[in-house]
Amino acid sequence: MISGIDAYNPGFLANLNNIENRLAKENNEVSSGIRVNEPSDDPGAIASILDTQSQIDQVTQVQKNLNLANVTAQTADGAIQNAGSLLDQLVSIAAQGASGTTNAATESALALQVKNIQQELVSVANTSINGQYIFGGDRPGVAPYTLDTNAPAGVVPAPTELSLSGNLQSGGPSYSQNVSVTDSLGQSHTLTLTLAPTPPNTWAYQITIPASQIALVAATSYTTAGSATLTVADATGIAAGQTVSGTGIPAGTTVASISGNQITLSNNASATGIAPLAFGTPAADPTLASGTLTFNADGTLSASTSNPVAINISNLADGAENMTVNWSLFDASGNGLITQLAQPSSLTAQTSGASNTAILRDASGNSIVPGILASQIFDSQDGVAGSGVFSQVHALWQALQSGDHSFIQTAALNLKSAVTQVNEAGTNYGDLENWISQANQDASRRQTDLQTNLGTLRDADIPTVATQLTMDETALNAAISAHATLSNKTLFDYIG
Amino acid sequence: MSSLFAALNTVASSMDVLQQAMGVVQNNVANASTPGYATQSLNIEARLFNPGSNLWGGIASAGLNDSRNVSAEEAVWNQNELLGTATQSATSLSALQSIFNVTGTSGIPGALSTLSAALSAWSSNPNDGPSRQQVLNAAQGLAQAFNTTSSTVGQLSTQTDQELQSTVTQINALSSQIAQINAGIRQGDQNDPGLQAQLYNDLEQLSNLTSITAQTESDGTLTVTMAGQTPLVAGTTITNLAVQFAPSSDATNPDAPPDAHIITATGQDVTSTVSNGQIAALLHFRNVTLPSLTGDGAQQGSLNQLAQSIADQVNTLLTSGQTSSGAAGVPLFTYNSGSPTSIARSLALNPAITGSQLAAVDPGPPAVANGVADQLTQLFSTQVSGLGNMTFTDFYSSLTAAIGNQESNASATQQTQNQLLSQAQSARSQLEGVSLNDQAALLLQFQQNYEAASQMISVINTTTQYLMTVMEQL
Repeated sequence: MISGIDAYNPGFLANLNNIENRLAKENNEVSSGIRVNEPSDDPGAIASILDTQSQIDQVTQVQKNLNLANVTAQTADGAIQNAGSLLDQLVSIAAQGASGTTNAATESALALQVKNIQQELVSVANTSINGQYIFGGDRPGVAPYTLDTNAPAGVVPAPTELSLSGNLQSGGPSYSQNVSVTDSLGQSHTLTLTLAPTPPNTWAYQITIPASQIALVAATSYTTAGSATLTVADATGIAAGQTVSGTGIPAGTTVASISGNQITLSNNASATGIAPLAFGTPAADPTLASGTLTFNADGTLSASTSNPVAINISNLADGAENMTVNWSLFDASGNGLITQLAQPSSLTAQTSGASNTAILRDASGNSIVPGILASQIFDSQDGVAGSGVFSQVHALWQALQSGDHSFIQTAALNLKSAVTQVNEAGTNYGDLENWISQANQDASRRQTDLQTNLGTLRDADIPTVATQLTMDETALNAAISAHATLSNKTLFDYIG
Repeated sequence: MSSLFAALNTVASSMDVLQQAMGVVQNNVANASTPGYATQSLNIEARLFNPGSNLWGGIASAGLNDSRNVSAEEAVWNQNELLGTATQSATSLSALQSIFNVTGTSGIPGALSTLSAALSAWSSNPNDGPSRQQVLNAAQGLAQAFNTTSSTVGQLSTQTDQELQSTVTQINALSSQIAQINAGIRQGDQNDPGLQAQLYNDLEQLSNLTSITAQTESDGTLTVTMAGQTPLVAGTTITNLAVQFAPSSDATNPDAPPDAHIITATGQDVTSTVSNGQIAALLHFRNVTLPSLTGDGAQQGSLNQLAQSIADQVNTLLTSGQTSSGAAGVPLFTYNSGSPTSIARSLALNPAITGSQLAAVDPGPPAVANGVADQLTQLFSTQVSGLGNMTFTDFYSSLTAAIGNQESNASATQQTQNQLLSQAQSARSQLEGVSLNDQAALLLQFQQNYEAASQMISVINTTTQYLMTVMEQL
């Protein structure tokens, strides 16, 4: 250990090391522009930095979502304006047809124009972006309407989708049976039926839904004066004894009999009438499916039909949510109901397609359900059969085809309410675009505030750091220079 | 005449002593830079002088004087122990903190943001195939971020094990060297400054590795103990240390990584007595810091806690939902639930899930077509009770900040200790170090004395010859 030459050498080196560490950190800050590059740079600021960065990322994504929603809203707005223009053309056609100056050929030509415009209106209702129908609500993958001049309103709405969930269970030793329920979209749903009978035993099952949930509107053809027969698209759920009402149907008429999709009424139609017809509530709950389930000695279960049992459900009332499906079991000899399933004795079914529930959020967390359904634009909004846009247009087409001027005048008059309905839908999208615009402005402000905050928390104060860097470089050079000027000579250098 | 011969003899013996003194100076100068060397000086004492009794005075050597100052040495050891702790802590924590991203653009926080954004995009377009795939990709990215972080922490643990092994090997090697020096001291080399320099150099190196105390025994040997409790060297006997890895006695997490223990050759576990030095910092890092992240027998570890919380919260929401076709939701993440301390490592995207199985629908009532997707988006800014009422990001921030704080403190302590050690070394150097100026002055002094003595011999010689000539003429 040398003493006397430089007694403070270790301390000098330690100090140099400290200055060099500071310089390295300051160089890093200046080159990266960031003050906090690793946790130890400012542990107290990490939570704020990461939280702010996280918020920035969230707001950025919200802006992207809003922009996407804006594209949809603008497209929808344009489509509705287009629908309005088409309806204006129809009003003009209707006025021409109702003027009383047209002959059969002209009316036929006008009917053809109406049919073409209705086809365009269906296209408007089915407007899509990247395969997603913008008026499809919660089912954007399904076209809201299909053109069908035989249908009551000239179009067929997207069938109601049914999904079922829940288990039927009983206590004790049990057997399980999966029953597949296929809805009107062809999608399969599996129900688990769990029973505890003593095998071997055969049970009859019956699956019903409450009559109140059956659609009231099902007829597809219009009545003919003097005839008691008409054809419906799907007779499921329609039972003898149900009341039937509609144009040309005498009051008090009921369903006399059903053969396939052909229905015989209790009275002849008094006049030619325009569909749709209205069916009253069935007297009994319609049976959707029935058959037998046999519990075999080996513990297996077999069904009289296919296994699992497939049930087709259609004709559901629009918007019928949380529908109840009842399961009943009968004994093998058919002596009536001998048991009902233990709790729960029903399954919950849910329809979708007639809903629009998806929400859109802004950067502050506020939400809105953007857009409306095609049915809100084009279907009856007051529950009165035949008052929707498509119904009015179809009625005009039928009136022009029939050549009955009173019908044409009625149709022309009714068309005005269709124009009003579409215009109101356009207002909805105007409001939505305003909301999105406001939300975008709010998000931009937040983005700016957050970026500023992040800069304050994380970014280096370049002028200050650069000044400190220069000072430390000077200090380092000064220390080295000062040390270099210290004499390295000892008395030995002067001996001899 | 006889007195002249006596004077000649006295001067000659004095010159002999001066030669020894100059030899000591020469040795000091030669060892000026030798680590552990303390300045030696020759004790010179005057001999009795009474010509009437035929005592002619002069000088005699009274042995070497060692400038070694044990208090100064102990002060250096104390500061060196603390420096060893701080330096190793700073090194280990610096490596650890580099694993944790603080910009929010990569690593776990980046992956969290990516998943949050993907869920938000999916929420705004729940039936969009590419949006669903983005969610799956982002979930996989988050799982990989946890896997990578956990794996890197594991590699640091393995590296720390190796460093512990290396440190223990160094301690054993230094103990062995000290025992050999003790053997030399017993053979009569107690005052050999070279041996002493080796001894104190070894002790200083040892003090950087662990806390030591040294006691000089009656035979001149040094007994060295670790933390005042575990004898490392007693005479020529050494106690070798070893590193052992044993599972924690707490069986909460039986499959957790084992703790590191320091065991003596007799099997005694002295881990708890290790308080300072490099080995103490390594033990703390290995048994306390790393387990706080990846778990041990008694705790799950914050990384595993965070990974499990994210997976559970996301899975719970998804399985409560339905797909647009009415199917029940399936979990997005999987992990090894049987091993709470390896969840971050085993976290993975559910291999069975496909985009169409992502359940966006909240069945309600009321049903919301993107309800679950929206709740998942909100989840990332929600305080989670299982994480101390913190959001996922805040919890990550807290564990990262804790590491950053430790590193920052260790670095600051390291700087302070560097200063304190250099002060202690300077103080010791003032007491023990070789001052070349002093040695040069001594050399000149001894040289002048030697020249004077030789001149004295010359004068006595001339006088004696003169007397001899006079006597011949008589």
